[in-house]
Amino acid sequence: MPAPHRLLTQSNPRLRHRKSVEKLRPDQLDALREGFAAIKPLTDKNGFAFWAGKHGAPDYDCEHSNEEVGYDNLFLPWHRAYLYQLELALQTKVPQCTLPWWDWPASRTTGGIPAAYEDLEGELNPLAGFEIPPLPGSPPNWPTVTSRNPGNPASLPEQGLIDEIVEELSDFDDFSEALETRLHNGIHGWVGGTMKWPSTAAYDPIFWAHHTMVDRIWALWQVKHSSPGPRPELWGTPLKGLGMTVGEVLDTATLGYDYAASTEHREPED
Amino acid sequence: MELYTTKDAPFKIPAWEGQPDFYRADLQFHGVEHRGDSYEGRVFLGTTDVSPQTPTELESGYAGSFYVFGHGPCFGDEGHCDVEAGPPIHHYDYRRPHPLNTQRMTVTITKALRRTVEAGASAVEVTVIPTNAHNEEVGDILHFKRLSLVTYD
Repeated sequence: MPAPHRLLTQSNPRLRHRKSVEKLRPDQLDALREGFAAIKPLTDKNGFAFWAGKHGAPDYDCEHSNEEVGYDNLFLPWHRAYLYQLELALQTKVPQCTLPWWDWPASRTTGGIPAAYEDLEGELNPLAGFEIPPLPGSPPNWPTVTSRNPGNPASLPEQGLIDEIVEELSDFDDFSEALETRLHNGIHGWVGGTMKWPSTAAYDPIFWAHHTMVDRIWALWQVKHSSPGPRPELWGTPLKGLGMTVGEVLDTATLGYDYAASTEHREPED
Repeated sequence: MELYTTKDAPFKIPAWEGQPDFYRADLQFHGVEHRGDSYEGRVFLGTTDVSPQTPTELESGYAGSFYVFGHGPCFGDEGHCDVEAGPPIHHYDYRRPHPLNTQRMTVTITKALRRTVEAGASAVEVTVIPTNAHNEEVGDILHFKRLSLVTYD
């Protein structure tokens, strides 16, 4: 197994905490909006379109389950690295910005799409959508802006289904497939619009809250089963387009973050 | 297909007499295509009389759902979505496989199958109806190669 990346050999003593979007303080939500607003116009590797285009068109680097013989499912490691890279791009512009997770079960009773990601009356909300840049070759039907067409909030997943998948599926491959095909996929379809296709999904800012929830569920499974998940033989496998390996993303602490219900800090005065 | 059913070839329920009961039962859909739109495959046991309005409750035969994240339109050049065009194009092609290779979907149906067994059935029909997020039928979208019933004891 190759040695881990030099920056990932020890935990960051000051972990950042990803929180539920429903529980962000106003200053935390402001930082998130400021971060997205800052990277949306960029056209370089810190730009939102650069990263969105890795998942779908034009790069199609994303990993989802696949029945090809000999294929190992890298759905969870690939998307963890992907979130990490986008979060770094956000923090380059707004250091205190962290990606929040979309608590799907909570949204069953709070109207579906989290209010933080909805249009704001009278002002621009950078989390509500994105003007998608044109693709090389200008394929027909390529959308110029993200869209959503959500279903009934009551059909979002219940907490019991998440608990069942986390607690009962001790085999990582079973767990990963269930998380992908019984939860993750359904949310893409539920949001609809440009979120329902891999080609365009990551251009919608809510994609990142959705996948942070997926990543959180993997982190919960890792704690519950005292296992990183993927087999050691896979740890040296590169994650396409992201410059990281499977082994480098197994521990969220080495990536400098953890999941928390809420956070509040006090700094001692000198 | 718009609706799939094993009505003409129902699964035989394994005889459990003298054997431990199963603690988990899965339906595994192999070779699931995901070229079209995203959809939900709702799985019912013991009834073919289903629609998107059929309650998703155990009492209605509902056993669970799988969800397909459909690829949608092709935004690439000619051949972009052609799985046969690879990878792999030869033995030494180590690139990741084509994203449009088929997928496996598993639905855990333990409670629904146990209910069927306890009702005395010796065989069980599986019916799948594809729907969208607005509880509408989505037409000819469900395509797969094999369905397996797997029980664990």
